Amino acid sequence: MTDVIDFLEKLAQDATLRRMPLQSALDGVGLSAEVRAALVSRDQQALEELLGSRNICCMVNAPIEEEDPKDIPVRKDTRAA
Amino acid sequence: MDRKGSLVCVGVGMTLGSHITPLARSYIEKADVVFTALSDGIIELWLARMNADVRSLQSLYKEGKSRPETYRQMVDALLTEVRAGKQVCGAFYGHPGVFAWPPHKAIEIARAEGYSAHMEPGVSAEDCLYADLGFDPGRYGCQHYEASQFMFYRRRIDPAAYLILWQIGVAGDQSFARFSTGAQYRQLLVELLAPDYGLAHEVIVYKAATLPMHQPRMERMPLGSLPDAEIDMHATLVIPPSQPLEPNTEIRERLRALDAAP
Repeated sequence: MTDVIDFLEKLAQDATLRRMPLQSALDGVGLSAEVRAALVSRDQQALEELLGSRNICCMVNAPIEEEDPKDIPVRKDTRAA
Repeated sequence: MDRKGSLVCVGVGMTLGSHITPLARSYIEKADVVFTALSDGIIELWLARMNADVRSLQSLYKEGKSRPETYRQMVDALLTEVRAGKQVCGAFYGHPGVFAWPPHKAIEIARAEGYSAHMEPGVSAEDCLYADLGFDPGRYGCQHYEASQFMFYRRRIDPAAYLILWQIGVAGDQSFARFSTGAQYRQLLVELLAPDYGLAHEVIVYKAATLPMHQPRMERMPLGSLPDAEIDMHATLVIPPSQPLEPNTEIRERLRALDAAP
């Protein structure tokens, strides 16, 4: 039995599957009806709720460089010795 | 015998499973500990299977909390384990060095402290954008800015080149603590852009596909409609050129003179 993460990874890496309608790609894959419905409807929120994993933020960019980077201490003692 | 700590920051690309390089995957699988900063909860689940000790950095985010503070905590989390002698991998979505502060800072500090630290590139949202929208940045040139930084500082826009503004969902946020700003903030951005482009100029709201069954978002609209558009933290604004390239006749003449010189 394949789970949804395995299925997504396979779909991501297989050109034959990518050319198929998603319904066909799901043939024979043992997923619950709820997960299958979320996949077919491309409902990411529903899928994340079913899997219990939802990110709240993805930003890692700082629009302003810090004027004074001293608040991130650079420890020179540990490796210099 | 103690092991020397090390740090590698890798990109896992934008689309789950499609973009990760064999080397990035190997660093993730062979690390003592992996820290993740990823775009989607489902991608967190995918990464979590690659190593027995995968720690998401998601818990450091909180709306209302300064994001620079969150980023410093990310750096500290990575370096704490490096200093403990572990082989640490930071796995970031897209490219770990493009519009991403913690990987650069963590590598900089780790190196300054004498540890081995480096970055492995990944497929970024920018890479996906060129493929999905079908333009080559070399054709007319391409300018990239973080949207808030673009608003905070005076810039010289070249309307003969593409202009790409990242993180338009938080455009104009001077608190660095919000997860979204609203239509009024984007209206100011539009007013900043309008003299060079005009309100009728067609722009594109873009988001790369992060799951393999998804299509990228490529929503075209007049610049003047941007404030009312549905925009989240994943959205990027793509502004095609509004003017033709202007020949530099003086430089061309001088180049011709060089060509003609014996």
